[in-house]
Amino acid sequence: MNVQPEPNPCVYIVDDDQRVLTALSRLLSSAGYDVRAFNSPLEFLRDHDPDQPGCAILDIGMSEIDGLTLQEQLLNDEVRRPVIFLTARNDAGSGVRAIKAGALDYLTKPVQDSGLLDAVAKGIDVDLKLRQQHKQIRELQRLYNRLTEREREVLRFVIRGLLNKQIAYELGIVEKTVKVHRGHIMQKLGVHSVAALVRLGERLGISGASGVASPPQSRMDSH
Amino acid sequence: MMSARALGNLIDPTAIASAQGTRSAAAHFSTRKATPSGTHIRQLLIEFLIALTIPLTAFSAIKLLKFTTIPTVESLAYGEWSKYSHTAAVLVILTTTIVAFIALAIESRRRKEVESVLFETEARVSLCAEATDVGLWQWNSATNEFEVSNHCRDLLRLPAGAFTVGRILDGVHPDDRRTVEESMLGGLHSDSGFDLEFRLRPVNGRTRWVRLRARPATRPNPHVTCMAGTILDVTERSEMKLEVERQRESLAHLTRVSMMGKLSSALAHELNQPLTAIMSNAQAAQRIMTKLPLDLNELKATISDIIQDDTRAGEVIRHLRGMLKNNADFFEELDLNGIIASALELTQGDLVERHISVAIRLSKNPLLIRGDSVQLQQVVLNLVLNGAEAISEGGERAGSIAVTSTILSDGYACVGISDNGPGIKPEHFSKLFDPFFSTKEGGMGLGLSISRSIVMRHRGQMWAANNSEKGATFYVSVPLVGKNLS
Repeated sequence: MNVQPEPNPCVYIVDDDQRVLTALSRLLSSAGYDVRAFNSPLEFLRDHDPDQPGCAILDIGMSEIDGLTLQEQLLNDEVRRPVIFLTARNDAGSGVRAIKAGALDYLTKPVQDSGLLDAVAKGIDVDLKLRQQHKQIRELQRLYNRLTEREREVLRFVIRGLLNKQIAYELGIVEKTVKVHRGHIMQKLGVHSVAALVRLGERLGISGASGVASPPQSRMDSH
Repeated sequence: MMSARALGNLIDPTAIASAQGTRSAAAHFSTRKATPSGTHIRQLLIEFLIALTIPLTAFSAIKLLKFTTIPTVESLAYGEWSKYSHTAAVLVILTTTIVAFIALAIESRRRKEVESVLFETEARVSLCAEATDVGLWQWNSATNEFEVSNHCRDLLRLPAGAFTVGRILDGVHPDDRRTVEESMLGGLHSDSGFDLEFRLRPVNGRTRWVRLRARPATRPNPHVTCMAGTILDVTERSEMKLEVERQRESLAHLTRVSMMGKLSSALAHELNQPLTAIMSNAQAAQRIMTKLPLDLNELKATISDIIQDDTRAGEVIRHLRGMLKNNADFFEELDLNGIIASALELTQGDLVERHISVAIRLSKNPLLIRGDSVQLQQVVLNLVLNGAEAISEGGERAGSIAVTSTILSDGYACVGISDNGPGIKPEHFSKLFDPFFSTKEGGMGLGLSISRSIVMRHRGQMWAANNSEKGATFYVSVPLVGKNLS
C-alpha cells in the first residue's frame, strides 16, 4: 500500500449536539487524527472537500437532516467517503438501512474509544484504497483515451476472446492489420499479455459484449 | 300542596315527645314550658268566670235600678247630682268589671293560639333535626353552659347534664382543636357566625368528620352573648371527597406516567447524549495523560466538560423522576414561564424525531402564579404532545408548534399552544374535555380531561379554538399572584 503524498487523511465528525461533538473531536485528536467537526449537517454538505482523504462519523438523530439522509446526499453527489454512523437509539431499522446504503460501521452511543478508533482506522484505510483504485483507473482511462477508434474496436473483440482471424472477419480487414492493432494496443496500454489486457478491460468496465463501449465514469470522479 | 299549618296539625307534638321517650328538642329553646293541660284549665276557669259575671251584673243592675230613680234631664240640670251618685258608682264598677273580663278572655285566646303555633313550630324543627341527623346546640357565654339536643350529645359523646366549652373541645381531634377553639371564641363576638368542618377524636380507631354551623343567637339582654347552631356528621361525605381526590391524583399520575412512556425514546436520547460526551471525554483524557509533556489546559477543559455533562444527565433524571413521582398537590409560588420552559425541554427530543419545529414567545416579565409545578408541567406537556400528534396524524410535513404566554387584562396569566395540524372538527368541540373522548387511535381520552381538572384546581380555565389558517390552539389561564378572587 503506497501512502498518498497528498493531504493527510482527516476525520469529519457531524453531530448537532455541540458537547458530544467536542468530546468526540477531543478523543480523535488525542488519538492523533486530524479532525474536522461540523455542528450542522447542512454546513458539512456545503463545506466538506471530497478530495480530502479520510472518513466521516455521522450522528443519525439530527434535527436539520438525519445522518442517513446526509449519507444519501453524499452518494447523490458521487462522494464515496466511508461513513461510520453513531446513534443514540439502538433501533434495528436504521442500522439495516445504514449498512445497506454502504456504511462502514454502525455504533451505538455511548461509544467505546476502541470501537470508534478501530472503525476510524478502517475507514481511513478503505478510503485510501478507494482513492488508490480511483487513481489507477483514471490512469488507465488516460491510456485508453489514447487508443484510436479502430483499436478500441479490436480491443473489445480481444476481450471477448475472439481469434485474430475472427476479428479480421468481423471488421472486414486482413489478419495482419489486426495483429498490428493488437501490438499498438498492448504498447499504448503498457501490458504484455492477453490475460492482462482482459483484466484491464474489466477494470475499465469494458464488456466485450456488443455495441460501442463507452468509457466508464468513475463514481469517485466528482470534479 | 299541604300548608304548613296543615302539616303542623298532622304532627302530634306530644306523640313525638313521648315516642322518643325524651324531652323534645323544642324544650331546649323554650323558656316558657308549653304545658297543654295547664293552659286548658286556666282557659276554662276564665270562661266560667265571664259566664258567671254577665248574669250577675245584669241581675245587680236591675236590682239597683229598682231602688233608685232614674235621673231626669231636669233634675240633673238643677244640680241634683248627689241623689244619683251611688247609682252611677255601681254602674261604673259593673262596666269596668265586664270590660276587664272580656279583655282577659280575648288575651287568653290569643295566647293559647300563639302557644300552640310555637309548640308546633318547635316540634317541626325538632322533627327536621332528627330526620336529617342534625344535632342542635346552644351556648350561653355568660354561664359558659351548653344546651344540646340528644343527637348532638350522642355525636360528641357528651355526658348528661350541663357542661362547658372545654368539654366540647376535648372531643375534637387534637390536630383540629386549635382551629375549632379559635372559631368558637371568635364567633361569639362576631355578627356573622361561622361554618366549620373538622374531625373528632378517634373512637375505636375511627375518625369521624363533623360540620358545625354557628350563628349568634338573639337575646333580649344585649349583655349576654349567646350562640346557637347545628352539628352534622359528614364522615361519609368527607371520606368520599378524600377518595375522589385520591382517585383524581392517581389518575393524573397514571396519565403522566403514560405520557412519559410516550417520550421514553426521546428521553433515552436526552440521557445518551451527555453519557456519550462523558465517555469520550474521559477516554480522551486517558490518552492525553499518556503524552508528555502533559497538556494540563486540555486536561482541565476535558474534566470540566465531563462535570458539565454529568450535571446535564442528572437534570434529565431529576426532571423525569419529578414527573413520575406520585405526590399530593404541592402549591407554591412559581413562574409559569419556567414551567413552560421545563416542559418543552422534556418534549424537545420527541419533537425533533417528528421533525416539528417549536416557536416560543413568552412574556418578558415572569408570570407569578400559585400552583403545583409537576401538574402544570403535565398540562403544558400534554398540550404540546397533543399538538404534535395532531400534526403527525394530519400528515403535515412542515410541522410547527407555537407556545406563547401573556398577561390578560383581568389579572390572569394565559398560555396558548397552537399547532398546524388538521384542527378540531366542529362536532368534537362539545366533547373535547370529556373523559374517555379521543379521536386518536388507541388514545385513552384522559389527557385533556385531566389537564382541565388540574387547571380548574388552579382556579383557572382551559379552552380551545381553531386557528384562522390551519390547526388549533389550546389556551390555559391561571390567576396571577395578587389577583383577588372573591
